[in-house]
Amino acid sequence: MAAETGTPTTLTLKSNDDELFSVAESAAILSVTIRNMVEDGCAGGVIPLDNVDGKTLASVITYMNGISAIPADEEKKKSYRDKFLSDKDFETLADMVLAANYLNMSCLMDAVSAKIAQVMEKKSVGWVRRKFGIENDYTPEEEAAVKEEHKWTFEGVETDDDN
Amino acid sequence: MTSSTSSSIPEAENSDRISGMPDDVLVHILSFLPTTISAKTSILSRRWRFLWAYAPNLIFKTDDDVDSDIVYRVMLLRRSENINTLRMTGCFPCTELQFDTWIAYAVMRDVRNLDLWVSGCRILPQCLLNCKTLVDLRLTNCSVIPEAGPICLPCLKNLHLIHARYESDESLPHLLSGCTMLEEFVLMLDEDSLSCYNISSPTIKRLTVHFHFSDSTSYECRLVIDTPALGYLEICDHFGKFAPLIDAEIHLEE
Repeated sequence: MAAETGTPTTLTLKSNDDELFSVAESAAILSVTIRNMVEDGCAGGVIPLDNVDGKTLASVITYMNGISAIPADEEKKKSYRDKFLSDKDFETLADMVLAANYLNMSCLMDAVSAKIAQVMEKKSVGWVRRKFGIENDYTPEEEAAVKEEHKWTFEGVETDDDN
Repeated sequence: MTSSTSSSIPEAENSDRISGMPDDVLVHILSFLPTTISAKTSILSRRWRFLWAYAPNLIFKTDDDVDSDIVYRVMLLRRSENINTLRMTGCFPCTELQFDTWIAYAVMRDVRNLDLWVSGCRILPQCLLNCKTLVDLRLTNCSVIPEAGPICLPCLKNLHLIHARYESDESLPHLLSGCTMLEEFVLMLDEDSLSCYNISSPTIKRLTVHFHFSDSTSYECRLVIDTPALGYLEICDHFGKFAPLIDAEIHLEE
């Protein structure tokens, strides 16, 4: 962190499973949700983040610290984001996209969404249903009708293999 | 492995959270997929049937085996009012009428990012050159920049002209004069070229110029840069053996 005059303000964030995290205000306000709380003067004590668990929040804070330490250079920020997300599995990415949405962090939201899309792109319908916890509630007739309606997209697609 | 019967999902602990993702988060994820792939998700379940149609981006790649009929079909089926990004890559096949129609469709829906590499090379339509919402414009191989006519791109911040054609030496200054907020300009030049490239802008902060001339030795051109706000400059000659630098004056003030 660049040394500012005076001591940098630190915020305390609390996850929904009651873990506490200290983070520099300058990094935390990448979240518009947190920035609004700070501007409204609600950040005096502990900031409760009811929709984010400790494991995910720790990861988000690592990202906040990492990205805010990079000066205004979009290329470097992009390569940091790519590296940060490269080893994350699907469940972690899903938790992060929900956290980024709740915290209103557009740069993280975009990066994680793009990563999830990249993972989905090569997968079968069966894989996507499993990973997203989707129950196929079409009747066979409806499913056939949807396929017919979208046959321009379904050529050559296997619907129930596992890759 | 079995097929996807779903009542006993092994990742049960996560599945409630993930299956409970709000529609707008799912649509956001879908907006990063090529459009024909995101349309495939309509088969997943009733809830997913029309989600793809709300994605604000339209992304078409030639290697997806997409043709122009599919573009029209998608434009008819989609339910999102606006377009954030229209991207067509891989020398996407299109006629002049299609080019004009798709651009008009995007401009009418307040497109913000336009990234086009389509077949053919055409004069840019007036509606595009006067699009009030465009922030990022990338044109590859497919555009002719006019030397006259109204140009007003008041929100444009990033402009990439890759191997464009120019009606005359006046085309580039004329285009830039209408880009009053431009911050980044990437210019890639090849054979069909002018005697002078005049890059003049009070707002450009980042400028990249690449020359892709082959080894024809007879070619000579001038590059004039007048950009007082410039913070980053990159000039690259990919066939440096010819094109000797004859004269360079660089004034850096402050």
